[in-house]
Amino acid sequence: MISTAFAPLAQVTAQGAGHASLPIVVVPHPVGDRDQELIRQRGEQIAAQCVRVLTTPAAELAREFAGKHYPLPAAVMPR
Amino acid sequence: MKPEIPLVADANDAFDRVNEYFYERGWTDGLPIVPPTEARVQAMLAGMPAHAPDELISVVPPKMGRATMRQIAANAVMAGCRPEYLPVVVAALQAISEPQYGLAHRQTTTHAGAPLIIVNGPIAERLKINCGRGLFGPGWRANATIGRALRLVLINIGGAGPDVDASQTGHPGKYTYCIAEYEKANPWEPLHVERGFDPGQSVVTVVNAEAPHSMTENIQTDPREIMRTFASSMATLGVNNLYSQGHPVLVLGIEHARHIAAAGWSKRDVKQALFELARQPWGLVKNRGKSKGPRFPACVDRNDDASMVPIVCEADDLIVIVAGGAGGKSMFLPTAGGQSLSVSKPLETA
Repeated sequence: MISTAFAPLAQVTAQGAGHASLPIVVVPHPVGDRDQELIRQRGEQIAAQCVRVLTTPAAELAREFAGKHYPLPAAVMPR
Repeated sequence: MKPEIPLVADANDAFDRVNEYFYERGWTDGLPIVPPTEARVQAMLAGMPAHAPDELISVVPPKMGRATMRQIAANAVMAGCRPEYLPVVVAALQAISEPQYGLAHRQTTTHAGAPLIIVNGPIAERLKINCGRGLFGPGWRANATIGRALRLVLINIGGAGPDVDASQTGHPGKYTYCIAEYEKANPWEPLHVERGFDPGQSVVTVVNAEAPHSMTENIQTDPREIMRTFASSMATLGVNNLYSQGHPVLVLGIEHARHIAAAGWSKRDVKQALFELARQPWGLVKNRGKSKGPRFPACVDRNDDASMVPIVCEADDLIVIVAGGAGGKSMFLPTAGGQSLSVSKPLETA
């Protein structure tokens, strides 16, 4: 799980660890300086996605997540 | 995901087409590159003939790319290096691959730092690495291309391009950041001798540093007063070193160094004075910056608002070199803090 601003970094790090198709679940950035209630809401938003990732066969997940593109939010990098 | 960088580019491609190809794939720093043709890479490898092209020098995070001699040479070609620069590039990469530099964190941090390569010893003069006027600026091939080669390695082999490098703003040193110490103008021992190397050895010291901040002192010649001016610029409430210390850098101007030495001060005296003066009271620091971070020094009494917080844990942690041209300025280069420390590596050639 990672915030949008760091999703490409998570992907490269996973690749470096030999897990190029690691499932990455993304939440809106930022998280670090938010209050507890907002963080809880973020968790609830991705809970179902996390359950799916944890209960889906790895081979199927690999096909879904290998080479997936995670665009940086415009607030971080306007294009 | 971008494909692995190829070993060479087809020499028949026009310069513009090669540059577009590389730029589209994120293999540049935004500036034009020299196409790394097989012939150019081989010529670059001849700069270190004792090493096999497939020799592994480092594994570069976060992608954990394999920085072989060939891959480093390709990036050095792209940067515009001459073959005789290669030992400096390799030594700098070896330095930042040491655990105390904390490369994985530096590659992915939000902090605005870049690997500053400080060159000491005979090779600085041989390669014409600028140590005097304008040393942080343009016009000197070695300064411009050695630092750039290291950065291209970090981008291309380490995978820390713009989408991955989380530095909030970056700084111009991420294009290139390479200087030499002005040893002839240094009234004391140069950095590499201070660190235990022979004067005749060529050594690189690499420290992850922010952009240089100019400190003007055109009036005072008393060393204590010069230090007071510096301390005010160094121990600011926003500087990382106030919260996690580490190895910040003072680039002492040659005129300031002359005044200080003429008064009988040693380099150690400079460090000790700044260790004592470059501080802020805990009462001002405690609810700002990174004062709640994990590296805040234990030596500060957090029950006493008057307890003074230093920018280094001990005087010898401050890196002091002498460089630059004529004028009443010295430079302060803050660093990230104790999570990334400087590393010195000897070069294989003299």
